[in-house]
Amino acid sequence: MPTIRPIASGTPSRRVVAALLIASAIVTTHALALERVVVIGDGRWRDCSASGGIPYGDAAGNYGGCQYGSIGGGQSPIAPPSQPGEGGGGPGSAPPEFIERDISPKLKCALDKYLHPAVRLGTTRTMRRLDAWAFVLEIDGSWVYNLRPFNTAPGPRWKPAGGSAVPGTSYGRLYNRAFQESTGFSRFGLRSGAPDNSLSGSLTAFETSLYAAGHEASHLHGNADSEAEADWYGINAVLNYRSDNGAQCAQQPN
Amino acid sequence: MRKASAWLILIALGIVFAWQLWGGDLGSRTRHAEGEGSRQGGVAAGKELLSDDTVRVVPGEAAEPQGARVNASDANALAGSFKQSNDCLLYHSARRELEYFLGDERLDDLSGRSLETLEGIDATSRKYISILWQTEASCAGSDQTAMALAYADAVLKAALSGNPDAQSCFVIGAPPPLPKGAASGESWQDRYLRYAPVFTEHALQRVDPYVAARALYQHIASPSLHPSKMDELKPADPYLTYRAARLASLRALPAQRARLEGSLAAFKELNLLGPKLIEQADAWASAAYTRDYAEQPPLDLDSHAPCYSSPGLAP
Repeated sequence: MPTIRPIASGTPSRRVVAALLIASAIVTTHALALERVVVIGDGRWRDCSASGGIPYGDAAGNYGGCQYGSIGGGQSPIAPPSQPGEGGGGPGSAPPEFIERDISPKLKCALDKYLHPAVRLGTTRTMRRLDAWAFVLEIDGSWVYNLRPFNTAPGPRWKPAGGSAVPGTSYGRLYNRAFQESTGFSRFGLRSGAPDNSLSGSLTAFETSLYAAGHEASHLHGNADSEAEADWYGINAVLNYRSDNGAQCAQQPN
Repeated sequence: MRKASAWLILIALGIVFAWQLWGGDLGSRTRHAEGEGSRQGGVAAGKELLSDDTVRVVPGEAAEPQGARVNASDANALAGSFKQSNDCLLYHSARRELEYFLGDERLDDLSGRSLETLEGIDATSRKYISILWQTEASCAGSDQTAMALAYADAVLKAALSGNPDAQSCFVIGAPPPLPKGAASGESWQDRYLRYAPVFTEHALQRVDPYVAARALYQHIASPSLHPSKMDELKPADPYLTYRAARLASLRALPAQRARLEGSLAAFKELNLLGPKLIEQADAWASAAYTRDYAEQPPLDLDSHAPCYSSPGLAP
């Protein structure tokens, strides 16, 4: 029977230090293997999901994005923060198996012409399109993202997502769901100091993408708490677009 | 060495105790300010009570028991207070909105715009200027964050005291622009998730048209663009929702009525209510409209009239 030695009250024993190091390594490896994503505010994240990406960050533990291959200079692989509201930065680099591209000139034009001035992208914010289907699952208060090449959820509790944007950052992303025609669409928007707005019925694929981009633009402008407000801006963009039949961007290729 | 540590701990505990005593005294003084009725007093009390509430409010607590502790004049003062602070929040929004308009270079050349667009721009800017005219005297120089804190506190307290307007506004209003920290937006969201179902049910029993329209949307809304905590909010009782929304539709402006009728049709397709209950609710709403509302002007349900001091102020 092994004897149990009392641990000295001063510096921890080498065994304790070693055990702690091993435990933290296991935790880190486990977290990276799970590719847990970061929750920012209410439901925004960094998605390194299901892609073989490694979340990396700076020495302070702030997230920098998803890295593929080796970690670059000044970057360290880090475990995702466990609590909502931690982290920062954009949604990360695109997983290599999915193609990320610019949004179409027509959508770019519509965002410029029809977005409410409070959420215009301007020259400092970008919206990109990722050719992937995104699904989200909440695990222990974190939103876990799974990007797939086909439109089938990984499981019954996974919910589809059309876009992502970390509040207050400069880079948002739209997924395939944001580019589909919508029938039976029904959302309402809510914004302080403005009348409610709503959109119901059918949306063309372009209108869906405009709604989604307007919604994500609101998050890029710092809205971390209100999906209804983000919806207000998305709906507002579509209603503005419809008010002149998209005349201001009619010549742009989609 | 150990004795010295023990003394240090005792001294620290003493300091903490004295600090708490001083803090408690400060707290009671701040609460006295609440009854003064002045806007600044209300704001100070709001800050104090907001953090206080966060600790004391019990999940699932019904609205009435707390309300019973507030007398009628206090309830009226609270209702007045939340509307006044909301007026000033609107004042700040209107200023910001006009700044957007004036600084928007897209409006420099309106030659290619449709008449509908021009009309919309004109109506919106006129509305915001009208809001500024109405609120400038009482809200100029106010601090938006202080107003948001005061509103967040007063609307919840008034709603808990049973004030129907406050319950309605708590449910249908946008989250106030609270600062991050102790009284952050997330805290507002948690409060909303806790209280909105109770206030919604009370409002639907009163057939509140604003809450009815919102509750109907909750039933038929498409999935959100991405999940959020608000998804935890369960839709309200289907019968109460349908009955109140049917009456709301009869009372609404023509365009909104058409929209609500579409939503009611979508609701029926969910088969949450049998044909008999639908028929019963339709008959009830029709009779209630004829009896109580037929002579009244139609309501603008997109505009939250009960949430401001003057119904004409609502954007």
